[in-house]
Amino acid sequence: MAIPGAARTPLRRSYDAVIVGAGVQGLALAYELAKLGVRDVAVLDRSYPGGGGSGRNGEMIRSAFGSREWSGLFDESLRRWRTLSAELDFNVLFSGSGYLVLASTPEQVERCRADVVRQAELGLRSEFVTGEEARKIVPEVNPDLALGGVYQDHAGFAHHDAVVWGYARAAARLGVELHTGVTVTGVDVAGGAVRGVRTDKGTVSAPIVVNAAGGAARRIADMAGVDLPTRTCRLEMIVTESVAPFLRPALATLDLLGYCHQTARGEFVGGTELPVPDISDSLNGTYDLLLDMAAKFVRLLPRLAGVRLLRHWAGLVDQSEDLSPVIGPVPEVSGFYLTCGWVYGFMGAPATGALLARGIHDGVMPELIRPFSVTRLHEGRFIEEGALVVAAEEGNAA
Amino acid sequence: MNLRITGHPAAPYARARRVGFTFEGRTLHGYEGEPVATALHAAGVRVLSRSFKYHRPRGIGLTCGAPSCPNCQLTIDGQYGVPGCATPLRGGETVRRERSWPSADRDLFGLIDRFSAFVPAGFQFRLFRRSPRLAHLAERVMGLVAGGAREVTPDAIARAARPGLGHRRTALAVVGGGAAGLAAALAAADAGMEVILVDQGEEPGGTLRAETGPVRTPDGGQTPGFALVAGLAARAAAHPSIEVLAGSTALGWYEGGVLPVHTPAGVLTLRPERLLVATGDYDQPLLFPGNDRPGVMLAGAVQRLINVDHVRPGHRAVVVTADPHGYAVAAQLRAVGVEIVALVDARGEAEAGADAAASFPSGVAASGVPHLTGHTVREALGRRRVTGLVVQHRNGARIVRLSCDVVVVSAGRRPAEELLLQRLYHGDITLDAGFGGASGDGGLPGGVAVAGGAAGVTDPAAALDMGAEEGARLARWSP
Ligand SMILES: Cc1cc2nc3c(=O)[nH]c(=O)nc-3n(C[C@H](O)[C@H](O)[C@H](O)COP(=O)(O)OP(=O)(O)OC[C@H]3O[C@@H](n4cnc5c(N)ncnc54)[C@H](O)[C@@H]3O)c2cc1C
Ligand code: FES
Repeated sequence: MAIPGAARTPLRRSYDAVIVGAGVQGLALAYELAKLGVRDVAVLDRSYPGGGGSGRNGEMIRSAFGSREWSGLFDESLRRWRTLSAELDFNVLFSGSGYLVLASTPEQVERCRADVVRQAELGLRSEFVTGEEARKIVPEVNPDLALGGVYQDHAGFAHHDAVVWGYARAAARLGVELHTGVTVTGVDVAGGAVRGVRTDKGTVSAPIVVNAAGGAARRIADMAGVDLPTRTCRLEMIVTESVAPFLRPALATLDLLGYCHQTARGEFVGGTELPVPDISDSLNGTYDLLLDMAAKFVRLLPRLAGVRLLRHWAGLVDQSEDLSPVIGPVPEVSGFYLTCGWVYGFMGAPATGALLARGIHDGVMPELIRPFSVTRLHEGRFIEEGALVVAAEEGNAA
Repeated sequence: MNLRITGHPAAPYARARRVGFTFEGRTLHGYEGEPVATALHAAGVRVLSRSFKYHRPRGIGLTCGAPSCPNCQLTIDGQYGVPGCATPLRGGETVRRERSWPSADRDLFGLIDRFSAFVPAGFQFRLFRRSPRLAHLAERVMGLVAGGAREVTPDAIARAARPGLGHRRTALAVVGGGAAGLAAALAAADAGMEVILVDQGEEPGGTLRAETGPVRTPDGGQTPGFALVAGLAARAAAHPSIEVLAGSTALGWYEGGVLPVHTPAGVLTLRPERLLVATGDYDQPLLFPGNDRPGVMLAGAVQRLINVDHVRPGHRAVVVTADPHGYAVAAQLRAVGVEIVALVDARGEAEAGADAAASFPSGVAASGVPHLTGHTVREALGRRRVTGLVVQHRNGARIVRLSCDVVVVSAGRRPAEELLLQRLYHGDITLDAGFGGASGDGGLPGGVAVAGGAAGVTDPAAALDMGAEEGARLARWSP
């Protein structure tokens, strides 16, 4: 199997920077570092590129969130998504055909109305839609569940494998080495600074080590003696066989904790969550959630009844207490950086890769990512983001 | 010449009632109980569907038996994506093809395939990468033909929504009712175990249902494959401790030991204490240009057509084989009046001759069929149906062009081990994890066994023995 962008040379003993994890976060960062001239970079992955959450996600992309922190970062990302194919010289099949967050109760309608006002204050392009307008955007939707919503006409989705391949190839062209089948087993720290990593293929020294290990991020942080207060959660998705196009935008529903879209070739792709986070590091899909997804999506889009499933899978995300990402340096160990805690790490990757690369290169984190530092979690300064479609313990973020 | 076989020399015909159905506006006829795809084939319909990307025409028998075969999917009574090979004809239904415009026979988008030199695999990642607007337009045009389900009726939606059948506990679930599964269920039930036997077919029997050739029985005798499994199926049906769920598919084997089964009446959620996987194996296709042309068929699919459905795949067949099974199918095709244009075997004369011996006792040559040993396939000819096969001697000297309307491929088998893999695929994925482990004896949890084709056993007699052994072993196992 030829892996796009994979190095053909053996793993060397030292690099300027080592990135643990060839997901979309690790690869975007590698590409952006190389663009800034930091080209002696190795991206290490125990699996194949995109084998983690990056090849298992719902592919949904938007920037209409409710907090200043999220809006800033994700709007920068959305801007980059719209030209990413040209940037990477690879069509990542970004589809800017809109993103609709659906409200199904009067309370949710009010929340959406408030979100849109807030988003306008934050300089975001989004609009409140009435039930009728929502039903015009998605004519097949169950009218009972479409009382209103937030619509972003320039958001959408992209092909997650293409994004991973695109970044991997573009990074490789600039000299980045992607090594798959390499498991990081330790992080070497001495005198308060990172020295490199230990792997099942030998020790690699580097003055910069980035933890982009997705669902395994906490384990990698532990190896460096860094306290990363996150946990690994399992999410699941289904894909149906191809059906004639009936769903143009990406669609999320607050009521069903579900998100979905339809690809250009007709497959319906969607996932739901149960109200309580599924703390697990198993990659097995569960029957309970399969039933949940099938029932909810048929309810949301009745014409899906009887459509055959093509696939069902699970993936892992690293989840922090405020459900927000953890980006940047750590106080304990210099040279050790994080891009972890990602629940929306697909849509957030283009901006985060560029900004974190800039921060590592300049030694100062850019403003848009500064709020996401790990210290906020230690100090209990949580980011209050209310427009997520994610299972949360208290059900507040739902 | 009619494709229907009358007076089959080796297998009795079970279907008697001729029924009509509507196919894209025409009335066609078939026999009640036969697969819809078979009825279409017998009525002369060669193109059942179009492939997703290049819109290549696809016909019956191309990937038969493979999980979620995409090549025979039809819209039946407003329900799309119905597998034509696995759906029995009832009479009166309305059948349409999918994924083409204006029709599957003359699909304008098939032009994509004609220019495939300019649209190589992965072209969508290179196209329009610098022009978001064109990319967007391309997406919309693709949508014109993507997918089935163009006319979803409220009626079809209502029919699709069936209530679940609830949960059932059972001491042993046997998934797959071929020779191995039947033998296992009988052995366990004879030892006093309550057994639920799940089988996808209209009736159990598996691949042997289509086998007219002799199979060695445990008592040392020989009996035609179909008679052997019919006997076992009858015993299972009559056994007080065995419940047979026919026409039923085990959807997966999930955490907590949940085994949901899709039955004709709805989904039944089994919680078996023990699980025996006897899901059989698949025919492997062979790689050559044009290997997906309508008329290129797998050996097992051809056997089912002639020996169960009593329908010829065509009139003039080239059989490409690398094992004894291919020779057996060639002989069976001849017996029902299909001309064998040639037998093609990539191996040398000695090896090929040895495999041919059981089916052609006085040699292939003596039967008047050209035996092209040492020959490999260069390409299949034809567009909407195969019209010929070009083969070449491996030293490159000789190129032979064979005219035919069927190409039968017998190129080995692959265990149907998805059910095990799905469950055992926990935790980390690493590149070198490999898939080999699931069918070996190591690695399986207690109370779980695999037998027959799913365990890589291709000889029917050995599959029977293994099934009986594993069934008895599971009956002795306690949690
Ligand atoms: C079902 C599901 C749906 C989702 N839907 C969306 C969505 O619609 N939109 C969105 O923006 N986000 C979504 N997400 C979240 C998104 O997928 C993740 O946030 C994102 O992919 C994280 O990327 P990453 O590169 O940080 O991690 P990953 O893609 O998980 O990559 C981590 C990599 O690290 C490697 N690794 C781990 N440990 C080691 C080690 N010791 N040594 C070497 N390598 C190691 C892994 O093999 C893996 O390849 C979803 C996630 C899931 C699971
Ligand atoms: S099962 Fe699809 S072609 Fe036979």
